[in-house]
Amino acid sequence: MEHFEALVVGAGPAGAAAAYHMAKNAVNVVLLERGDYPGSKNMFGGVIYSLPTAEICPEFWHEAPLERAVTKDMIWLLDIDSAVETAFHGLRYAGAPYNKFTALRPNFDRWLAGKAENAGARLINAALVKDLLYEKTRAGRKRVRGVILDDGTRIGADVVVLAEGALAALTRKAGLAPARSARQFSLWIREVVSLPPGKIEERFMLEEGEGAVLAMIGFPSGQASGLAGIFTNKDSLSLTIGMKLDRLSTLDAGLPELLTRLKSHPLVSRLLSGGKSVAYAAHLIPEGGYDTMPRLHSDGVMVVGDAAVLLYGRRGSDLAMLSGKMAAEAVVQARARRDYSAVLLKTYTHKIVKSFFYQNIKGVTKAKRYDARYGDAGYLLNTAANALAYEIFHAGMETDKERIKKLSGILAGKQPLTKTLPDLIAGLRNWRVL
Amino acid sequence: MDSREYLSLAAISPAQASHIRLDGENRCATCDDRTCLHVCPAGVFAWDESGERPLVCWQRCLECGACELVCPRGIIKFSYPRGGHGVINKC
Repeated sequence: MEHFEALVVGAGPAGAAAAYHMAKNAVNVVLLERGDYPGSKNMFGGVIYSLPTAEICPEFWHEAPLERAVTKDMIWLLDIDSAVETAFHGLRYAGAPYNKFTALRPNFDRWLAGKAENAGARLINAALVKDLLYEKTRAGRKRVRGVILDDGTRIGADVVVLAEGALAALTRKAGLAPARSARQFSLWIREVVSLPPGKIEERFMLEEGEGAVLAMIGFPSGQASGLAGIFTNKDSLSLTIGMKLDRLSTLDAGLPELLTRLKSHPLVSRLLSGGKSVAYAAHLIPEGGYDTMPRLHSDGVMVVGDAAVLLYGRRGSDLAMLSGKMAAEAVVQARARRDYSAVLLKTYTHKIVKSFFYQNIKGVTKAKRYDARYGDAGYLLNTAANALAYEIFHAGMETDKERIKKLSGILAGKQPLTKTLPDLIAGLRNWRVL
Repeated sequence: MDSREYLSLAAISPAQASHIRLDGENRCATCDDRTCLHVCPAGVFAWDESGERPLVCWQRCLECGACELVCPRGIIKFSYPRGGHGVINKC
């Protein structure tokens, strides 16, 4: 049986960042990827964040395969034939140190795993881990000692880092997380539509190299609140739509139907017009938040990234990389003592607990519970905003007094005002618009 | 566009054997929800012509894993396809 000091399951952002940091510190590490190459199983409706990514690789923008530097963030509250738009266009973000970039994950993930390889990590593709290998410790506890692949190959390791992604099957097998339910996940699909760069820049009011992110709330999913987004790549648009799995289960339509409905919206279709569909993918996001986080370490094992439910709002891939690096730092420390027991690896959990993102994940717990309880809050806000906007911008023939009466009538007609305010606060926290 | 047209945009190199297992598929016939049919974004699940047996077209699978989570009777068991098989995202 081949043996390594450290073994990382999954070559996404979390796993590749972990392997990269370990390899840089002379740890003999192997990185296992179940796909043909890192990123071949991945997609995101998201962006690469500059500040956290620079923690992994300073000034990565000189070498990483990125699409566009995001200078424009837009939010649409979308209704049948209208949209209330909020946008920020910040040109300071067009230059170093930037703020965030659109990217395509097969390119980005392969690049980051390549960094790990160049630093000395061994990358094995097409390697699906079926199970963990254990041994009994002197204290009588189970301790992870390696993995077994789907073809029966055994690989030994002093420490295993689980960067296996949202489904986290091994994390559960290791007894670090309880059984899951549909409530804890949202399902996302993504279509890529190719468009000439000039058209993208014209439609989103960008200069060459600049990018935009458009988040859409409301319309395509009807009653239930769902989110959709458009991300500008160099010569394509990534179009994503997602919803909590338990809500999706109760609808008659599936996500592909909702995506088609979104694309036919008169304000969306003009952004996509003339484009050619080139790719389609689906992915789960573990949205259960703080209440559903697994134990992050045990004897000989640590959990990072999506498998550890390290996400909040729109952020996840960056927290994945940061957590991967933290796990790697714990490995480097434990290695100096030649002890990978839970006692030493708990420095990883300590680092996570002290991180800004752990505080934020904890912070949105209330908003998440609120969202689970009042599933229609997003829909009500959205339709109220659009109805109000139609009235506000309408050039009518009434007195101002009559108008104000009409406006408050629209708002009060949706639901009691005493609920509208908490709806708004919870929504903004949940969507991380604030 | 429907799920068939969307799926034609995905590159998939399926394994020989299915990675999605039905544990007690005889209980599918009496399932009223059949959530799998519309939640699966790839249209993996269908019914045979007689309407008696569920079909699993794993060759179409995009590997999201939602099916197991939404199956109201816990019949669907999802695991990843063999290493180097299944979906290949190119962008």
